[in-house]
Amino acid sequence: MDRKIRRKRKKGIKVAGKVIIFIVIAIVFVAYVFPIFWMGVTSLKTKVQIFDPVPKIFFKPTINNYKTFIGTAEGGEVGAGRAGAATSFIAAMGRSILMTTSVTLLSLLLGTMAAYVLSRYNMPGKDDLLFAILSTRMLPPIVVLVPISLLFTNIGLKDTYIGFLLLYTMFNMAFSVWIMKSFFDDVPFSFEEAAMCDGYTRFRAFLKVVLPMVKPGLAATAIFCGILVWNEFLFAIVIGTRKWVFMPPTIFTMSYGAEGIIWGVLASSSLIYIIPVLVFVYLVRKNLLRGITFGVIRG
Amino acid sequence: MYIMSMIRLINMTKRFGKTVAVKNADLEIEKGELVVFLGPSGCGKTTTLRCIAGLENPEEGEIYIDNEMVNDLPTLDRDVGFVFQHYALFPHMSAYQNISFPLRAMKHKKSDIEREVMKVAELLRIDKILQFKPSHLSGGDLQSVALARALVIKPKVFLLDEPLSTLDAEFREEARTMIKKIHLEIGATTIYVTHDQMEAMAIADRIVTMNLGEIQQIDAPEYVYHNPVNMFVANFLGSPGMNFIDCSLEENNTLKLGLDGKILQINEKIVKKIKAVGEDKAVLMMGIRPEDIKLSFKKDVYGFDMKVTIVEEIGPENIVNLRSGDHVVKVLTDPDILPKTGETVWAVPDQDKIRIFDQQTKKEIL
Amino acid sequence: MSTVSSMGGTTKRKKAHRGITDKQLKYLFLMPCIALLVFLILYPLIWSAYLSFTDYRAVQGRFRLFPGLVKEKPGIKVIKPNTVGFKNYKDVLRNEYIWKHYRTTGKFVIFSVLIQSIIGLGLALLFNREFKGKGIITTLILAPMMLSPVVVGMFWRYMLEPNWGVIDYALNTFFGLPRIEWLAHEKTALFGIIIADTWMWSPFMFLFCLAGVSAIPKYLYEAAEVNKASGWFRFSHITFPLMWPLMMIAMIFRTMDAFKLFDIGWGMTQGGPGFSSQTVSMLLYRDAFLSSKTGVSCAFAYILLILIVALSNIYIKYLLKARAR
Repeated sequence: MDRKIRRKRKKGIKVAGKVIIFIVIAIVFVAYVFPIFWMGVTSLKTKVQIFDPVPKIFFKPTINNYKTFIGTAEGGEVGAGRAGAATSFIAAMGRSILMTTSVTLLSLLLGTMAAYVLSRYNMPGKDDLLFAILSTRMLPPIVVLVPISLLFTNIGLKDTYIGFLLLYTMFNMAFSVWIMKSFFDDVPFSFEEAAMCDGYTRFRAFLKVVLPMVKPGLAATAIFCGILVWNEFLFAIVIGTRKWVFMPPTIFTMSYGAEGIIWGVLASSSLIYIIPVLVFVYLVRKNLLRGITFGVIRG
Repeated sequence: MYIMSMIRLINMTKRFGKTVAVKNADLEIEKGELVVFLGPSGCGKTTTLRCIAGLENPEEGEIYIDNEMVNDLPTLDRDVGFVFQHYALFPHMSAYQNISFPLRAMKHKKSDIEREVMKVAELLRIDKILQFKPSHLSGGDLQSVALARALVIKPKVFLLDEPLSTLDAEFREEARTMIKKIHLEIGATTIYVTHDQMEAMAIADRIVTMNLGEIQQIDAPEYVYHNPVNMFVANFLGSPGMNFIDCSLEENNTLKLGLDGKILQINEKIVKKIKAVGEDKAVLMMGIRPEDIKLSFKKDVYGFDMKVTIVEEIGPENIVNLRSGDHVVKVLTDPDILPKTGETVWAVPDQDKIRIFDQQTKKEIL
Repeated sequence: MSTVSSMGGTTKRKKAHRGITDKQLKYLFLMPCIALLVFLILYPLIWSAYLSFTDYRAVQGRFRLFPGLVKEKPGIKVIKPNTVGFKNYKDVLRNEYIWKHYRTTGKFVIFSVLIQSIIGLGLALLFNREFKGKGIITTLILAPMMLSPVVVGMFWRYMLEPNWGVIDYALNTFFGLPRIEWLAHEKTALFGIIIADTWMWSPFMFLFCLAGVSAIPKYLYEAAEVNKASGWFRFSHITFPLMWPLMMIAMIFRTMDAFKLFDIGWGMTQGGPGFSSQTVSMLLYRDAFLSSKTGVSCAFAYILLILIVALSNIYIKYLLKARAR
């Protein structure tokens, strides 16, 4: 008898449970998406609306903030920041895009090459090399940044395109090598063997047979490397002092006005800045786990 | 209504989307019985078992365990022990922790748990390996641990889903004997799912043969073997399966066979029976088991002539493959009967063992 | 492995007259990577080890390892710093001010990793079921961790404003809590950073926990069910122990990253008020680049390095063990 009562109750609980779970998922979703949404909302507000003690979702939007940071608005307030062309948002964006693309391509090239060898060949010290590469990712960047900065000053690489290219490629290396290795490991060696039996050289077998099979890996690696460079801040402020100023430091300095931070400019420039990242995250959503674990865990 | 059975399925149907996995299953299992669900893969035998355990919920029909309708009862409140095909042992727990798991989940006292686990471990002779994790155990031991985990709660109903299919052939027979022994010892009502007809024949009190989601026949093994209700059951049981030859009833107590019109003399008894059910004009199918055919090296009107193609010597007996046109008939003979390839022999069926089926309905008429 | 070497042998023979040999390919492919490692990691580390025993300050002038190797441009002063032995290390280790930063960092690491783990685990359990739009919702929840930390920090600074920030407004209006000046008080500034860090990085824990939970085969849950386990018992005896290895990896990952915290904090408080929310990374940045205490910074960096190497050793060992499975 008591069993039957429990059964009935269980059905009731099931329905209620589903509703509760739906509500909780909705709340969680809002909690994570809200700040990005709010960034969009703030970017369309006037200064007065932003300083309103009652934040409003519905208001008369303005694109003034966008005009301000792009530098076209008449008498627009632009952050104190650093002098000269370096503070220009458009220029910084151009540099960021250029650097992100260059580093991504170079990382992809070097990472793929090294990963292929580390995946296919056996050699003394291979594990140590893999370990060394991985450990560069474990170091707090600030620890090596002190000597690197001195080194760059001494040999004239500070604040140069080549300097940044090498530096960022190095710090992407751990990532590109490990994740590409994990993709190569998934391709059976018999594919190359077959190709080589057909008279391909090892190099051609790699180029024509193996590489096309790891295309998804190349895409994922490229996007993750790109995002890493795009978001980098610490190297950017230490090495890029005058000419090579990228987006994050620009947003940082540009938002500081005479009377504190200009939130509208911060929101609008940040939004423009993060939109490409959101798009790319969507593109690699399937490889997200693999990407952030260096391919150690297949996701 | 009070039913004196342990498990009863009434008109149970289970669908997965549009496919019907089990169709209108009716079944009654007595207390203490060992019933085998037999059929090819995808026939619905495992699904039926899972419905009884509560791991699947049928859309229609009723399930009774010990006279209680359990359709709405969650698995954990049904008094069943279940052994999964791949054991489903918890990989992070030792054998002891696995076996004691249900008792711990039910919050039994620690001393009771230890006593019960040791009892069942001794029964299954695994008391020496209790400290090992599944990854360090052999297939046979895993099997025993899985059995022990299901048995330790002393379930009313003991359900086994292809428990031997992952074992090596050499252990399989041994494990089969052990399951039979345990069943005799504890007397729990047991359902055993398998696709192996030998296993089913060896172990079952009754066999439930299933095909395409439907129950074909429920009977004791020997009875099913000798009296299959249809061609599917006839063919599925026995290895090699039953031989089928197209035929039609002719004058003078003869059958005209689908082997180039060869004529086979048969007993009047058979003819009378066919006529009695009014199937004398229908297209028929003669079924005869390989062991019920004798080979004769000279002409015999109670047999039909075929050419020997291959003789497989498998130890205690030989399988002689006979051919006539596209038709192959397999015959089991004593090991000393070794016809030559290409030789013409007469296959003489045992008149009492001849089965006649309706070719249209595939049902047995004799 | 024998197949690899034997294949290498045959190709070498084949390739005698065309293209590069297997061996050449191997080194050609690895060279750039190794060169970068030596040039940008090994060499700077050795050099900074040397500098950590000197009183060098970068503002005084340049320090050449091989003076006279390059012709100096006019206006550039080349100096040779004095060797001071272990003085820098002693100073760093004895400095109560630096130890305070370690404590701040430790506090940050413990709280943020713990909170993020709990949230990540909770979300994973919540999302371990099928529902409409699961894919897109999951992707959107995971987006924060891919954003630029400094921008995230700055924007959260705005959201946590006591007067016009949306968080304080919501807490005040819906829950009647007093408006808190999160980032203006020494006691709450670090916690403000933890909030932003949690928004950004709890999705990371979520991703790992979800991977861990969904990797548990369905039949084990069925086995749990037929074996009388439900609710808490099932979670504590099946779900949690089986997902724990993956969650552990994520926690170590997060610990290492939290230890390095710079960008978010710099975007939010720049270490303030006072130095109440300043982590060791921020202090090191200030010392090395804003105060140009190069020699001391190198010593400081080395101490930090040793700490991290110890930590990452545990981590990589665990990672390789997990990979072997």
